[in-house]
Amino acid sequence: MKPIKLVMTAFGPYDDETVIDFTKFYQQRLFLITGKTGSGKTTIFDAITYALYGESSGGSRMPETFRCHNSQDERKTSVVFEFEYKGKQYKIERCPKYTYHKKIGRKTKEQGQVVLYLPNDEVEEGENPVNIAVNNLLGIDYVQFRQIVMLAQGQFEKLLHADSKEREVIFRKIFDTTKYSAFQDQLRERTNARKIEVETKLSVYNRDLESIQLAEPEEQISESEQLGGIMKHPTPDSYQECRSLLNEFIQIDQKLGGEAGNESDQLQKGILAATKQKTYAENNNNLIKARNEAQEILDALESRKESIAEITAEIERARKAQSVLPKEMSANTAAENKNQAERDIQENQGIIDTNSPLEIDIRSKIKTENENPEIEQWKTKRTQISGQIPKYKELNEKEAELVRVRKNIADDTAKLINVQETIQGFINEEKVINDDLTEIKNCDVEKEKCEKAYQTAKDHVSEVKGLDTDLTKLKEEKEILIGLQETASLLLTEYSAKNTIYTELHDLFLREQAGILAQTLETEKPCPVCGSTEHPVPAKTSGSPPTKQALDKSKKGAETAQIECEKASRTSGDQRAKCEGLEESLRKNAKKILNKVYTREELEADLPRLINSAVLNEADSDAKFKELQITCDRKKELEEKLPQTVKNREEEVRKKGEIEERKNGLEIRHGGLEGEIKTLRQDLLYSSKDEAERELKTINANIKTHDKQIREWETEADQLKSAIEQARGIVNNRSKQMEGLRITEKSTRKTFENALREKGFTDKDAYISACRDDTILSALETEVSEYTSSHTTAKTKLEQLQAQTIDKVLVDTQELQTRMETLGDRKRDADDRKNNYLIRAHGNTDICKKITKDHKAWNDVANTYGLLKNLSDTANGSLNEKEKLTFERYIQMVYFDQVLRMANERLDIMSEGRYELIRREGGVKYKNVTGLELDVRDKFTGRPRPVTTLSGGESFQASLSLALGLSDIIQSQNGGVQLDTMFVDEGFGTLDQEALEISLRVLKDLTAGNRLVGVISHVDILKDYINPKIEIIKKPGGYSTLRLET
Amino acid sequence: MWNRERKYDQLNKTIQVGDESVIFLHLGDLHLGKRLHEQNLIEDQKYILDQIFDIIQNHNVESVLIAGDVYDKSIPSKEAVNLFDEFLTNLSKMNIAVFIISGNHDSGDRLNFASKILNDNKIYISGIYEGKVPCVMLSDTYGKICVHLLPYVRPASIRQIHHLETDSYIKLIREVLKTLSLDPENRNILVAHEFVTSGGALPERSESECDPIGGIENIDCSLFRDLDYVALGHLHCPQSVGSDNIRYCGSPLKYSFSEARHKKSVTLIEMKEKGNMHIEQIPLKPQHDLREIEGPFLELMSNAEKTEDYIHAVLTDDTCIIDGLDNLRACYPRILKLTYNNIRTREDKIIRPVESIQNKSPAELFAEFYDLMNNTPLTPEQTAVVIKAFDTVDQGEK
Repeated sequence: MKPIKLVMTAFGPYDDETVIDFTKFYQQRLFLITGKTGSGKTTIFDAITYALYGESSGGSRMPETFRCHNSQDERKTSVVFEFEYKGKQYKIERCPKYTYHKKIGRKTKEQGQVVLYLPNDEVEEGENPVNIAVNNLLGIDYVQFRQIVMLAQGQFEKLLHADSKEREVIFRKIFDTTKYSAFQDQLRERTNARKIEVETKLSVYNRDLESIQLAEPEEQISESEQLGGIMKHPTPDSYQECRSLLNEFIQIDQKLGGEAGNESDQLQKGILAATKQKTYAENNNNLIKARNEAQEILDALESRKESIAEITAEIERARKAQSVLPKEMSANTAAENKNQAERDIQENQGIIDTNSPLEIDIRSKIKTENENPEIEQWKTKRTQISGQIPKYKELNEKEAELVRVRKNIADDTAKLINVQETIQGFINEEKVINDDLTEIKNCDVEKEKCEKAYQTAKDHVSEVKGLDTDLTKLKEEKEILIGLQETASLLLTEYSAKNTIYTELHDLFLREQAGILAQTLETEKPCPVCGSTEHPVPAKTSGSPPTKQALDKSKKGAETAQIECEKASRTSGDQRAKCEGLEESLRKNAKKILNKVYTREELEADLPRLINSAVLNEADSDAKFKELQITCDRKKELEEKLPQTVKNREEEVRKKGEIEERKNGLEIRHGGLEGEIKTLRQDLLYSSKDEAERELKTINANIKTHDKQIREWETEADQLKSAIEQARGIVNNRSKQMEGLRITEKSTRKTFENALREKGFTDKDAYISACRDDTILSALETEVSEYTSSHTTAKTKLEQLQAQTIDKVLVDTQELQTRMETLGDRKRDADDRKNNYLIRAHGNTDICKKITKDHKAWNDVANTYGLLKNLSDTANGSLNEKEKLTFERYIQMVYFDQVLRMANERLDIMSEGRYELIRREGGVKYKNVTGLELDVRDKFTGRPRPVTTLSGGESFQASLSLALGLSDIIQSQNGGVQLDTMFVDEGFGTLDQEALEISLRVLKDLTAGNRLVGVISHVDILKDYINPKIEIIKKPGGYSTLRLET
Repeated sequence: MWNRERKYDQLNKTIQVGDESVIFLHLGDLHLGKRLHEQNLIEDQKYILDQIFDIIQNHNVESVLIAGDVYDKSIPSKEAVNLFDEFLTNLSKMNIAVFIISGNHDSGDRLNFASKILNDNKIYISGIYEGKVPCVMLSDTYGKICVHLLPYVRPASIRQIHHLETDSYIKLIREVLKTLSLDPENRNILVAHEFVTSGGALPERSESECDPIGGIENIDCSLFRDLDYVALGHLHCPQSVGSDNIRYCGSPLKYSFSEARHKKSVTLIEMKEKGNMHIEQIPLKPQHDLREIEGPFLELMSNAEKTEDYIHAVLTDDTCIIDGLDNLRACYPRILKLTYNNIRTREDKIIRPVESIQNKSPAELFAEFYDLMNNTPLTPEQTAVVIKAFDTVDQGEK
C-alpha cells in the first residue's frame, strides 16, 4: 500500500484544506516529518489510519475529536486519501459524524460519510461496506496495520516491555491463535463431559446393583448374604464375583419355587374332591325342601274355590245387558232430532219479518239522489277546462323562446362591431409591410459587394505582416554574421600569434640543434651537415633551449588554432551568403506587394504605417459587411410575414358575413313569435295555467263525494236483501223434514222395549243395575282364568317332587365345608411361596442382564476418557512432571522465535553486533510464565539479562528491531500482503549521534525494494540527515500548515 | 554576493619571487568532536592536528585547503570548537592562508560566523552558497592562482536560488559550476565537498561518511575538467578520482572500523606554472591506531601485547564467552567493539525463508507438540479426536 495523496480539511490542527503529495518522496523513499511539539505530526498518521480503517493510529483518539476545534463551523471535516495497491489506484473519502453549532446557535449534527472509489470505477458507500472492502483489499486488519505499518508513538515499545501474559494477548490478536486456544478448551470440555459420562455410567451400574432383591435373613441363603455384603460397598471390580453369586442365587430361588409349585398342585386336587362331595349333599337337601313347599301352595288354592264361582255368575249377567244397550241409544236420538227441527223454523221466520221494511226505505233514498241536476253542470265544466290545459303550456314555451331570441340578436350586433375593427387593423398592417419591403429591395446585392471588399483588405494585411517578419529575420541573421566574423578574426589573431611562437621556437630549436651539433664539431672533422672541415663560427647553444615536447606542443597548438580559424571563417562565409539571399528575397516581395521599390531602410521605416492602414481598412469593410447582413435578414422576415397578414384579413371578412346573416334570421323569428303568442292568449279562459288547474280540482272533489255517498247506500240495501232470502230458505227446509222425524221416533222406542223382555230383565232398572263397565268386566275374567291355571300347575309339580324324594333324608354339609376350607388355606400358602421365589428369580435375572450391560458400557467410556484426558492435559499444559506449556503458547513460541530471528538481523546492525534478543527457555513452575519471556544477550559479557536493563536508546533500537521483525513475519504470513509503506513515530530523541547514524542506515535499508519510509521526529540532527521533509508550522490561533521540501 | 568576490579580488598575496612555487596542503573531513563507540576522540584529534601543524612547518606550506566536515555535528561540542580555534590561530600566526568550506556534517551557517572579519587574517570561509561560487586570487611568480570555494549545498537551495525544477543532482551542480569564472590563464583550484566518481568505478567508501538522504549524490569527474586541481572532501579514504588532480585527501584519523586498513595521509600540492604541479601524500601516524583482530578468545588473550590501540575484536568461538569484553579489556584497554564470527552468525546471515506456520495444518502442529511433550506420537484414535476437535472449532468460528 503506497500513499499517493492525502487531503485533510478541518482535521486535527489543520484548518484549511491541507494537501500532502507523497509522490514527491518516491525518489528518495525516506522522508522526515518535523515540527514543534503538538504541531500535528502524528495527526498525519491518524488521518491515514482513519481514512483506511475509521479509527486512529494510537487507538487513543476518538473519531469525533478529529474535528478541528478552531475551524469555522460550516467547514466540513473530511479526509481524502488516495493510495496505490498492487498497481491499482484507490481513493477513500471519509467524514466523521459530529455535532456543531450553526450560526444561530442550534446544535446540528453532521452526518458521517464514507466513500471508497475502486479502480474499475465502482464505488462503495457507507461505513460497513467500505471497512469490509478495505480489510479484504489490504489483507490485514486494524490491529495488524498498527503493528506493521504505523509504528506509533510509544506503542511498539509495548511489545518489548510487555510481560509474558500481555505478549500472549498481543500475539493472539496478531497471529490469530484463538483457534488453538479454542481447541484446548474443546478438548478440555470433551474430557470433562466424558468424565461426567463415566461417573453417570458408574452410578447407573451401582444403582442397578442395589436393586437386586435379596432373600430374607431367615431364608438363610448364603449366596444372598454374600451378595448383600458386596452390595454394601459396590465397586466395579467386584463385578465378576457379583455376577456369579447372583446367578447361583437365581438358581436356588428357581428350585425352591418349583417345589412350592408341586405342593400347591397336590392340594388343589384334594380341594376338588371335597367340593364335589359337598355339592351332592346340598342338592339332596334342596329337593326335599321344594316338595314340602309345593304341598303348602296347593292347599292355599283349594280354599279360594268358592269366591271364584260367584264372580263367574256376575260376569254372565253383565254380558246380557250389553247386548240391549244399542237399542236404547237409537230411541233417544230420534226424539232429539224432531225437537231441533221445530226450533229452527220459528227463529228464521222472525228475521224475515224485521228486515223487509228497512230495505225498501234505503232503495228510495238512492233514487232521489241520482236525479240531482247539479251533478250535470259540474261534469260539463270539468271537460272544458281539461281541454284547455295543454294550450297554456304552449304559451309558456313561446314566451321563453322570445326572450332567448332577443338576447341572441343583441350578441350578434356586438360581435359585428368587433369583427369590423379587426378587419380594419389587418388592412393597416398590410400597408405598413408593403411600404417597408419597397424600401429595402436592393440590400442583397450590396451585401455581396461588401463581402468581396473585406476579403481583399484581409489579404493585404497578411501580406504586409509577412514582410515584417522577413525583415526581422534578416536582422537576426545579420547579427549572427557579425558575431561569427568577430570569432573568426579572433581565432585568426590567435593562430598567427601561436604560429609566430612556433616559428620562433622552431628556429630556436633548430639553432639549438645546430648548436648541439656544433659542439661536436672538431677541426679537421667534417661537419655532418655541409661536410666542411673548417668550422669558423660554430653555432651556439642558447641557455634554455626549448624541449622537443615544448616544440611539438607549440606546433600542435598552432595547427589546432589554424584549423579552428579556418573553420570559423568558413562558417562566417556561409552565414554571409545566407544573409544576402534573405535580403534579395525581401526586396522582391516588397515590390510585389507594395508596388514600389523599397530599399531595406525605407521599408523598415515605412512598414509600421502600412500595416496600420491595412488593418484599419480591413476593420472598416468588416463593419459595413455586418450592417448589410442585418438588413438582409430583416427583409426576409417581412417577406414571410406579408401573406400571413393578407390571409388573416380575408378570414375576418368572411366571419363578418356569417354573423350578419344569422342576425337577420333571428329578427324574422322574433316577429313571428310575437304574433303566435297574441292569438293563444285570446282563446284561453283563465289568465294562467295555475288558476285553471285549481278550478278543475275543486270540481273533481265535489263529484267524488257525491258518488261515494250513493255507493254506501247501495251496499247496505243489498246486505239486507240477502239476509232475508237466507232465512226464508231455512224455514222451507225444516218444514219438509218434520213429518219423517216423527215416524222414526216412534219405531225405535218400540224395538227397545222388546229387547228388554227378551233378555229376561223385568224392567229398565234391573237392566241398568246389571250393566258393568268393560274394564271391570275384563279384570274379573282374568282373575278367574289365573286361578284355574295356577291350581293345575301346583298340582302337577307336587306330584313330580313326590316321585323324586321317595327315599331321601337331610344330610349335614357343615363338616364337608370346614374340610374344604382348610385345604384351600394350605394351597394359597403354597402358591404365595412359589410366586415369591419365582418373581424374585425373574427380577434378579433382568438385573443380572442389566448390570452386565452397564458394566460393559462403563468400561468402554472409561477407556476413551483416559485417552481424552491425556490429549487434553497435553494441550492444556497440565501433564504431571512436565513443563506447563499449553498448545497455544507453543504455537506462539514458534512465531515468537521467527519474529526474534528477523528482529535480530536488524538489531545486530543497529547495535553493531552487541545485542541479541533471545527467548527465555527452561521449565518454570508457574503455568503463565513459560515461553514468551524476553531477554537480551550482551555479547560483550556473553550473559543474558532482562530487557528492562537496556538504556532508553538501546530500548528504542530493540523495539524498532522487534517491530520490524514482527512486521516481516506478519507480511510473510499473510502471504501477498504488500505493504510498501512504513511510518515510525518518534523515539529517535533517545539516541545519541552515533546511534542515530546507525539507525538511519537501518531506515535507509528499509527503503530497499521500493518501500516508502516516513519518520516523525523533532530531533534536529535528522533534519540535516534527511532532506526530503514535511515541515509542520504552528500558526498563532492554534492551527497548523504544511510545507513540503524535497 | 557580488561584493564578496570583489573583496577577495583585492586581497592578493604576494610571495617570494624566484623558483619557489606555492605549496598547498589539502586537508579535510576533520570531524572534530566525533565519538566512536562512545569513545571521545578529541585527544586523538588534538594529537593529529599537532602533527599536521608540524608537517606544515616542515614543508613550508603556504596555504591550507580544508575541504569540509570540519565538525562532526551541526552544533559541535565545546572541545571541538576550542580545538579548531587553536588550530586556526596557530596557522594564522604563521601567516598561512586558510581556505575552509562547510561539509554535510557541518552547519554551514554556523561555520560562516565572522567569516568576513576573518578575511583580514587570511582565513576564508565559505559556509553558504548564495548564487555564485566565490573565489580568492593569489599571485605568485607564475601568475595568478584562483581558489574557488564551493560549500556543501542542499539541492533544494540550488533549486530555489537558480529557479530550477529538475531533480537531477548532476544538473544542479552543473548549474552551480557555471557560475565559476574560469580564466584559463590562471591556475584554478576548486575546493568542494561532493561525491565524485569516474566513469562507473566505485570509490573506496567508509561507514562514517553518512550520505544525507536527498543530499549528496554522485557526480562524474568530467564536470571538473577545466580545473587544475580539485580538492575534494567527503570520502574518508585518500584517493584520486579519474585523474590525479581530482583528489580526496581523506580523513586524518580512522573514524570507523571499516577504515582500519586505510593509510591516512594529508596531500601536499606544489603548484608551479600552469600544467606543472607536484602532488605528494604525507602519511599521518595517529596516537592510537584503530584495528581489528580476529581469532578464538584464548588465542587473543594469550597473544596480546598490551596495546593502547582502539580494537575491534572478532571472536571465532562458537559460544558466547562470558564477560568477554571485560576480560579482553585487560589486554586491550581500548577495546571498543566485540563481535562474533562463528558458524551460527554466518548461518544467520544466510537468509532462510521463514517457514510459515500456515503451511502446516493445525492437526500436524498438534501432533508435533504432542510428541514433544509426551515423547510418543499420537495414536490414530487420538489423531481422529484432534481432527474432529479442530473441525468443531472451525464450525464455531463460522
